[in-house]
Amino acid sequence: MSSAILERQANSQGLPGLKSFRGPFLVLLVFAVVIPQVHSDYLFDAILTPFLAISLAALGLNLLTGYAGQVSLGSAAFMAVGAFAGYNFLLRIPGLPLLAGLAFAGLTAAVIGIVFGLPSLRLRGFYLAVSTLATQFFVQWALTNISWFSNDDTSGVISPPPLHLGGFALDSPVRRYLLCLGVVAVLTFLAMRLVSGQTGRALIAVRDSELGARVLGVKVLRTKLFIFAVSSFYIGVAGALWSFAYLRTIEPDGFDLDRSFQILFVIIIGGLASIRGAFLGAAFIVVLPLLLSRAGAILLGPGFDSGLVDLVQKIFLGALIILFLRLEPAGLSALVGRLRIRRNAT
Amino acid sequence: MAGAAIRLSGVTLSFGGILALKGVDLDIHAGDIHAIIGPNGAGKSSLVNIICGIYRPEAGSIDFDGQHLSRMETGRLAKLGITRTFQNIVLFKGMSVTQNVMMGLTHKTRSTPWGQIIGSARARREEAHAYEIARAILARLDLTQVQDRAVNTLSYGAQKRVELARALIAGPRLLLLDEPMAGMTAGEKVRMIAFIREAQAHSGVTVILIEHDMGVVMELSDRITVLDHGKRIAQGTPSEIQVNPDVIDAYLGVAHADDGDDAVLAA
Ligand SMILES: Nc1ncnc2c1ncn2[C@@H]1O[C@H](COP(=O)(O)OP(=O)(O)O)[C@@H](O)[C@H]1O
Ligand SMILES: [Mg+2]
Repeated sequence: MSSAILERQANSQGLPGLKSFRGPFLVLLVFAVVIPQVHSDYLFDAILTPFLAISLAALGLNLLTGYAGQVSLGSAAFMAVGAFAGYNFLLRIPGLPLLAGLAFAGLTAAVIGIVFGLPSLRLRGFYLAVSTLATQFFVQWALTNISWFSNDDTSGVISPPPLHLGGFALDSPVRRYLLCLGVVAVLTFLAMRLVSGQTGRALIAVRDSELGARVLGVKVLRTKLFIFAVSSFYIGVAGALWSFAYLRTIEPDGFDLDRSFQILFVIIIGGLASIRGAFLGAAFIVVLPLLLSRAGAILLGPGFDSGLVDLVQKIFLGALIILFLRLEPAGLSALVGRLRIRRNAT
Repeated sequence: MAGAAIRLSGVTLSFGGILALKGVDLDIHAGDIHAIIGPNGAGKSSLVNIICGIYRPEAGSIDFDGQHLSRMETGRLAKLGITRTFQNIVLFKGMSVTQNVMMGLTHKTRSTPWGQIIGSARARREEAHAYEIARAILARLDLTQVQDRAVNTLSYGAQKRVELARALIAGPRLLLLDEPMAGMTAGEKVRMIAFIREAQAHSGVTVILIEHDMGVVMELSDRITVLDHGKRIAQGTPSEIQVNPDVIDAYLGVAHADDGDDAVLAA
């Protein structure tokens, strides 16, 4: 079964023509044109905006872990770096455009990513994962204890500046959602291009056999640091979007180890080494719990015990994850791929 | 793009006190198919790994194509024109057959990742070129039927051929084949022999061939080096090796009932 999956994965990685962007483009059109017609702040604020931010973070992690095989438990740390860097750039450089702030957020995370990616030159697998854990704790510690990062604000909760794009105020849930959508769409397109060419193959080569890659002339160390930087850039931008557009506060607490694991689960469920997988996994991990708790509220009435629902939800999610790993190790992406092939065949 | 000569002098290698190679000399002429034979554990793969810079010799030196080196650098192999296959197949299982073969052109890539993302003229040219010649070499090795399959769905023999295709795509000057026919059926071996011959005739590449099947060795090689327990015990043409008393004593003569080498040699 799994060999059939891999076969299709490999097939879909042939020479990339523009045709392979048609599906994603249609999806983008729906999200950009159709969905904004819905009048529901809840949909945008509580579901789609966090979904996009987590998708982007998962996409970043998938470049690193899924494609290049470098396991990381530090995703949330890079999200935090992006959030705080974006905040500080926008705060300290008056008049800096929002998109430039986001780019600087990503670049800062990329620099930190290179630094904390250095152990990957010596460590592999489990040991590398543990070393990225150090990133996680160090960054959280630094952001909590060095007050300069939070502009010496003692409340611990700081607000991002009002968001503008040109003269256009991003002051409604739909507009914040569209900002996220635009940023995510562009970065997703770039990632799709990256993985379908020579560099993408080099990443997979490093993952599948470092020795084989080196013998063929892949600069393994450079490739690893490169993908640490790119991945951290993506995750940093995701963190900035998460803080600016979704939470609308900036605090280190939300970027803890739980969040890192969440992103990792997203790519495992969605499918490693799959762009689409990051989105499917994020939909599963982020949106499903929201739907579950809504369903719980409706089923149990207003007086329900939210703690209990939370617990049930976690058990349900855990069971689904285990089920998935057993039945579909290649993730939702492979599942969708199979459905599409079946549909095309009939 | 003619074949390159390589000479190893006094190469010594040990693993935790166990001597794998003891002062081995190896003299390989440009354009030869040079077989290295010897029982399991004799040090054949270690020798190839030293040529690839994967193992560091404790003593000895290497002359490759007029350059005198104390050790090779793995990252520069492809640029030097040295490619190889592995005893235990090393393919990238997450890629298709064609993509695996395209990896053989990695060292010729000039486009940057950014150029590839935006589709610069150079990146597109390189990609199209790599794709095209990968397809051509796959056709030459009779792999067209499986060129779009995930590489790990192929039979063992076909995977060995993909490895050969990947090693050949860049037009190497020295090709190292570590047991390219192990585990193949008789029919597959015959075809593999033809492929190696053809590749050699096509470009004049120097080939180092590690192989257990004496029939194959005697048929293919210009010269043979025999290793035993990390020592070179003989070097010469197939007909010299066949009658060399040391070789017969140490390797060919002793009962190898398990792999039937004697029968092949006698034939
Ligand atoms: N990476 C390694 N670590 C430890 N011992 C090794 C290693 N590679 C080879 N050896 C040892 O070196 C000797 C020669 O091995 P090898 O070169 O693989 O022989 P051959 O290819 O002729 O079968 C053997 O005793 C083997 O156990
Ligand atoms: Mg060997």
